Amino acid sequence: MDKNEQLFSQFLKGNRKSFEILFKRFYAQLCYYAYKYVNDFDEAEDIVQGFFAKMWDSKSSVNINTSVKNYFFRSVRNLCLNQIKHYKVVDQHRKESLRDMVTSENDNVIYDYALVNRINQCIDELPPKRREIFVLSREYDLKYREIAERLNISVKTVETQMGLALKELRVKLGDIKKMIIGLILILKS
Amino acid sequence: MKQENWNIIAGYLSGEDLDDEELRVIEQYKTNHKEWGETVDLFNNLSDVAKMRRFDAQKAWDKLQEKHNYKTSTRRLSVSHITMKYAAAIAVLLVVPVLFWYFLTSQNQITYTTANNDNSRPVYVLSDGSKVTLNHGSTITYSKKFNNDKREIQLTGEAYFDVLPDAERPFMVVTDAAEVNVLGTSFNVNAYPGATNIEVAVSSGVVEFKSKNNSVIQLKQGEKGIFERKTNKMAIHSTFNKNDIAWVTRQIEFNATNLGKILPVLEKAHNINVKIEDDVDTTLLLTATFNQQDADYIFDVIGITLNLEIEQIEDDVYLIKNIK
Repeated sequence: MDKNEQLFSQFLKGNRKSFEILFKRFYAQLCYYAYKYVNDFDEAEDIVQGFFAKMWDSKSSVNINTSVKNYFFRSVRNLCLNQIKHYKVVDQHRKESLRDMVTSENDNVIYDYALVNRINQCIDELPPKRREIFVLSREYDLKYREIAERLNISVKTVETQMGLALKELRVKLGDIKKMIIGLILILKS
Repeated sequence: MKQENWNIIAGYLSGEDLDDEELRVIEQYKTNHKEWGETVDLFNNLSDVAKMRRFDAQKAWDKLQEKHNYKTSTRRLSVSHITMKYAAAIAVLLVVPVLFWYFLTSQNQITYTTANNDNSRPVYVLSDGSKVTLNHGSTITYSKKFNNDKREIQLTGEAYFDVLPDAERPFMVVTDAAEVNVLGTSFNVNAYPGATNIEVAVSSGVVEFKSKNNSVIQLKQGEKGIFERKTNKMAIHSTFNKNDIAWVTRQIEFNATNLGKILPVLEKAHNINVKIEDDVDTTLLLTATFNQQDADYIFDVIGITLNLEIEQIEDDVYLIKNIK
């Protein structure tokens, strides 16, 4: 894997491919990070895309004195904070997330991102029908009865599939705690 | 822990109403299992993550590209303004007829397609009120003028038709090598391109089954017509097995049927693959009726009845082995 710093200096010389690699490497992580501040998926994506677009346009004047990763996260955080300041009425939730997040470290976000990825991966690995039922229940908050009607199956089947999904995910994700500890060790070393 | 208890816990955590017996199970689990807290945390995490957007870097990258490409192309336009104008005019001249043709054909044709792994079995109601259920890996195409004089529909793959009677406008299913003409009836057409035969099973009414070389047979209710692609021969089977249309009815019946014959029926009905270990006795007999049950359930029943172990090794692959 190419080093971030190497890619970044190639990008500064106008290399589009390096820019693309960096973009794809960091995009989702930065979006999750931004989401924690602005609490809105569209806004998070807009901020991160805006950051990269601006960086590309002004590459001749970009000058960083820290790691690329740090620079990305810090820039996105500042953009988020600016964005929040723009709201005339800051609702309670945003205030809270702001207070929680201002002091947080980048490393926490990385493991959050890895965790989200891992959980998504395990959900995706469920058999298709079980996955569909699980997603209707957990993502769309449908009651079992509503799921049964929508898929033209019995409520009993929904019950069983949800039970099987929980059991399967419990086994696969049983080592979540271990995973977090492992990741922190790697990042600190 | 028993599967039943997992079902109850999942129901409880999903916010379903439980009865007293089920609530007792939850209470017991709460007090006796120290991993209760972990299970609750996990479930909450799963719910949170399921609701999170999956940020798609590729899509975002494409979007960014679009904006940048747009910028560069406008700059170029201003450099050689006149040349670009001519180019644009020529492009319009070339593109308009193509778009027009596309518009016309897309206006005239309606197409529905299912993917090979699509087991949703969608039901389409045609403009005359007839219904078509589409099996996996199949396509139907028909004209928007479908209802005007004749009702003609093209099929690749397999579909079940429920046709409303209309003597004025015959209903016609056209496949690559044979066609079916009907007045009003329900029937199943199996015409997957790679398969040896094209099969038509009639569950009610009468249909006419005609090959491309103009052999014709009449099929009555309960009969099955078979057209062999290689020899162009047509034959009538006096009974069709109800299990042939189990993919649409979800009704499967086994009457002292041996395991070897059961498996192809299940594979067809549920679009799955079943593998069987060499030492399993395929002459074991099963008598059972299934109505609307999914493959997991059916394999549970078969496993318990015939004392076999059945494992789901992939999404759509099951493995049958002896209990060791």
